[in-house]
Formats: sequence, structure tokens, C-alpha cells
Amino acid sequence: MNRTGGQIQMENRLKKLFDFQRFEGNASLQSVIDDVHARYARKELSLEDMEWVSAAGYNDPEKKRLKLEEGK
Amino acid sequence: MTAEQQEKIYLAFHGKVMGYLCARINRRADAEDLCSEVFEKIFRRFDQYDRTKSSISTWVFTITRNTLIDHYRRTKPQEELDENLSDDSEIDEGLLQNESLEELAAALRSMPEELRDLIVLRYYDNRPLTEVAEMMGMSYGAVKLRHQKALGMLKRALSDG
Repeated sequence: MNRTGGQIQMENRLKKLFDFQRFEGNASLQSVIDDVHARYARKELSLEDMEWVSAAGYNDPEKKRLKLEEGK
Repeated sequence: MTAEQQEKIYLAFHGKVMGYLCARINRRADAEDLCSEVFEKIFRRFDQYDRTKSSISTWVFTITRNTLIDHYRRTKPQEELDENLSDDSEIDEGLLQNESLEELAAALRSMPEELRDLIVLRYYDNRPLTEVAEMMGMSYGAVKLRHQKALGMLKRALSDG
């Protein structure tokens, strides 16, 4: 699927606006960005937590403790 | 330019300039050197600033960005520039206004969450679509389709796009 001229223009516009945001720190846009980041930080965290879920489907704190000790 | 004007500009923009440079440069000492270079240019060129063309913030940003590009070219001439710095070097000062950022925020809020996420992860975080697909738990093809849809929605939502 090829990108059209309009799409490339829009992409360049977004790159410039988000780059300017890093300087300007507009509060409304920052809150949108922070919401997205918070959502994905939570997702990453819950994926990490899945490692501690036992085959029976419940979280196993003992397994987590042992693994943490191993990593010392 | 008077010393009082210089102090006012320094106090108003030092945090923004340093914040922008530190986000892109690993060594704080290099960021501080570049920050000094930016303010030297601002003070030297202040009589060239035309308030009818852009806001002072946009003008300071343009000088900061160009100083950063020069730094990359000086120190890493063989490496490609950061994607967000490299497209076309000319900054459209009319586009870079606080109002444009407000407009973008409103447009993003009006979009479905997954499209909003995709745009922020791709263009603010500067992640390739393959990585965005992985983060969103979708196939590359599905993200590519949504990416096109999101760009179309933004084009319609943002005036004079």
C-alpha cells in the first residue's frame, strides 16, 4: 500500500508538531500524550505480572519471591 | 538588545531550551554548551526577530532546533539525522504555534483511543510501525491500515491541512 502525497504531508506535519511539543510543552497535548503513555506502561506492567501467574491461573507470591532471590 | 531584555528572555526560555536539548543529547555537559550557544545566537540576532511572522517562542524554538541539527552534523556527520529533525529543514513558523498544538490535542481526543495511541506512539515517541504493532498487540498489516485511517481523520480534523 503506497503512501500518498497527502499522507506524507500529514506525517511531516505531525513530526514537526510533536517536535515543537517537546519544546513548548502545551498542557492539553501533554495530557493526551501522558494518558497514552500511562496506558502502555500499565500494559507492560501487567504483561510482566503474567510471568508470576501460575499454571493454575493464580498469582504465586512464593514463586515470585524465589525468583527474586535467585536474581540477587 | 538591553541586559534587561536578555535576562527576561533567558528566564522565560532557559527551561524550554534545556528540556528540549536534554531530551535529545545524552551528555548534560554537551546540552549545556549547546544551550549557551542558543542564547548567544538569540541575543545576537534579536534585532532580526519579526513579531508579525512568528511568536517569540517559535523563533527561539527554530534557533534551538537549527543549533541542534548543526551539532549533529558537526559531531556525527556520518550518521543520519533523527527522523523528526531530518525531513525538510525549513520550519513553517505559521504551523508551529501554541494554537496548532491545542488543535492537535483536540483532534486526537476526538479520535478512537486505538488510533490516538497509534499516532502518539508513532510520531511523539518516534517508534517504527512494527514496534507500535507489537505494543498494541496487532499485526503489522492491521496497524498499517489503522495508521492510514488515523492520518485521514487528522487531515480532515486539522484546519488548512
